[in-house]
Amino acid sequence: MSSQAIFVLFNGLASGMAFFLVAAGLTWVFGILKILNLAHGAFFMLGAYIAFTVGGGWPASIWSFLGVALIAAAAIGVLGYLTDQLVLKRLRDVDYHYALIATFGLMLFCEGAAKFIWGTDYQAVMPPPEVDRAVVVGGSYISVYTLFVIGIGVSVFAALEIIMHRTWAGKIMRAVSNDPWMAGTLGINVPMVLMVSVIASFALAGFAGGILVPNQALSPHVGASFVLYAFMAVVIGGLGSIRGTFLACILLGLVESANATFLSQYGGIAIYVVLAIFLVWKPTGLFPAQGAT
Amino acid sequence: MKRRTVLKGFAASAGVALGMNATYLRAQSAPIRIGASYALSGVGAPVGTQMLVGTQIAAQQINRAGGLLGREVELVIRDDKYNSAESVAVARELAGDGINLMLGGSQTVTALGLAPLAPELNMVAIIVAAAGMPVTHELFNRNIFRTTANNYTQYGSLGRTLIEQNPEIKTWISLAPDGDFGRDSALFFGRAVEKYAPSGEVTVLDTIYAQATATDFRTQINQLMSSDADGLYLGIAASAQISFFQQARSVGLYDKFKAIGEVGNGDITGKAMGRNTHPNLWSVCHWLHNQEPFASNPVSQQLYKDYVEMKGEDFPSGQVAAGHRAALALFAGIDKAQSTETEDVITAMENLTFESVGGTVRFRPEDHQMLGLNYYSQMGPSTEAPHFQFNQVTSVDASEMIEPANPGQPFKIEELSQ
Repeated sequence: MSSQAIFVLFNGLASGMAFFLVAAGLTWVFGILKILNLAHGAFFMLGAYIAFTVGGGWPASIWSFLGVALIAAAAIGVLGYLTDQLVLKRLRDVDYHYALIATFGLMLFCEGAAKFIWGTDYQAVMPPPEVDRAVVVGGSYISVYTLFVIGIGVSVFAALEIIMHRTWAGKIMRAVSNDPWMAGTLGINVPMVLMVSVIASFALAGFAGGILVPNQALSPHVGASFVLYAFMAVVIGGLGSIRGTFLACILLGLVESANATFLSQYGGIAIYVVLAIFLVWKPTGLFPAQGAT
Repeated sequence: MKRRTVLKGFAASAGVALGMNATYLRAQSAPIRIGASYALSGVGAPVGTQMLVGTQIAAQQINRAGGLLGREVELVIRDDKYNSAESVAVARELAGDGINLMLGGSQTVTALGLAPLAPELNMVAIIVAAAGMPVTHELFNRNIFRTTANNYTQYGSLGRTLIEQNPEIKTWISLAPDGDFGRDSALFFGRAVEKYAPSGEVTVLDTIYAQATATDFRTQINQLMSSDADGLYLGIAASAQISFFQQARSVGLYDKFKAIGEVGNGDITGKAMGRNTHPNLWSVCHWLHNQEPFASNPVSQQLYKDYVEMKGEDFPSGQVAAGHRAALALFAGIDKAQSTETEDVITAMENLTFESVGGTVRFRPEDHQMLGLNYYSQMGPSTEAPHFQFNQVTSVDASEMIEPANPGQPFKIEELSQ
């Protein structure tokens, strides 16, 4: 395998897993609530800021870095609970257009709050020392931090797969997602399941913010760069499908990496071509939800 | 004629005369209204708001000294939203409000809208910080004056500074945004490196391009790491530049590249990267109040004092000086003209010399391009907060680095002698 191909592979997987960490919560909340949360990137951003505030710009170790990311996840999970009680709960029985407008407003509110609390100056967080170096593979310089992100992405996917397909809690969530009325008649506490799902999806956004913050300059707009790809992945993977989103993220990451390496003069175009192809070829995504048309 | 009619006539005449005189007196004592159009929202706001502070301080200073022509200076502040169409709308609104003197064009995108409009509106427009070449070339007209270096001068001077300060670096490369500015600035930088290399033996490799707003530079970083270069010009700005440094540092780019010249983030990058700032990072410098020659310059000292008093902060952005300098230019032009009429001010400014935070500056009469010393700062990490520091400031005389005046014609680097 040539040096360039090796680089495209590693870089693509790293990008794909970064997209997945953001997209996982987005597709989860859509799968269960049928709400496309436009504010997801803003909560990712808040997670990154919380991680920066708690852990500072120079993490002492990989364990403290992971601990800070979990704190960010918990904090954003709490915000998820509040958001659910104040906003999302009121949107469950209304037309989805209202949900789009409400979550868009929520996004603007979060960005404004971040500017108010942390200001508009850019901040930078470095990777923890254990992964703050490079390895040379086949002549290509691969950051160990990107390998760490790949590992975290795969771990999160594996955990979600086990939860959703191998546990009672996951099966209950899937039941509520497929038919909340029937799930309710069978004695499942549907409102509780919905609330837990919202909290979990927000916590995933916060965790992603804490893990990915060493990759980007931190500003109130940091979420936009990731969430665009996350939305694409959710569409290609099938709205609400974590498995489909995971595969779509890998695909988008590899396409983006190949585009930047082999067709750098047309930077960023290939990913949109792929999206267009999927919209024509498989408009309901790789793993469409039941009844999707 | 009856006596009563004559008396009425006298009374009416006196009334008219007194009224006219009052109007005349009011006009003479009314404030001089100057438009100040900066990017106060949108992506240009971090720069535009700082420039506005500099302009406001300049207005305070002139008013404290008794005003201009015995009149107070009043700024009419508008937001151009970092948008060409909005800069045009603002200029028209100001002109409709009777204002014929304005500061604008804090970035090239807004200057390109404002510059062609100035003659139609009979305005004197000071282009504060737009460095795009068209402003003093194909878009030139007598009503505009640019108070910043153009791209050719700025990035040529940066290249010259880098190679003169780091003569041991023999191979250079650029990473620039894929657009007119990126291509031009990398070209100007590379040409200057080749021209001013002390030994004459220097290689400038092909430029690597990236999207200006990219967030992932791993591909470009891998290309840089695989190149033979050990000197770098980085044309990527704002948050993208910080993301680049975050991603590059981890793979050892700091060890490979002995010197980096960046497009103009300056302390923005230093504040973000802190102790992880590249140890030999050079930047376009507008003002560093505590570094010579600024530290001993009375204009600089007063600006710093007034800044601290106004903002309550002790580390002003260099962009403050850009807004201050532009206002000082216009004030000096009005003072020299002893008039606020457009034509009088233009005539006065064409041969104007005035003092700024960076020393004496003047305008080139042919294309109204400001000439003076351009400054470049070198920074690196520090053990003390804020964990980065400026180590030195050097200057290049713009008159040595500027292209011949060619107003009305596009700039073509290939027509310049090497």
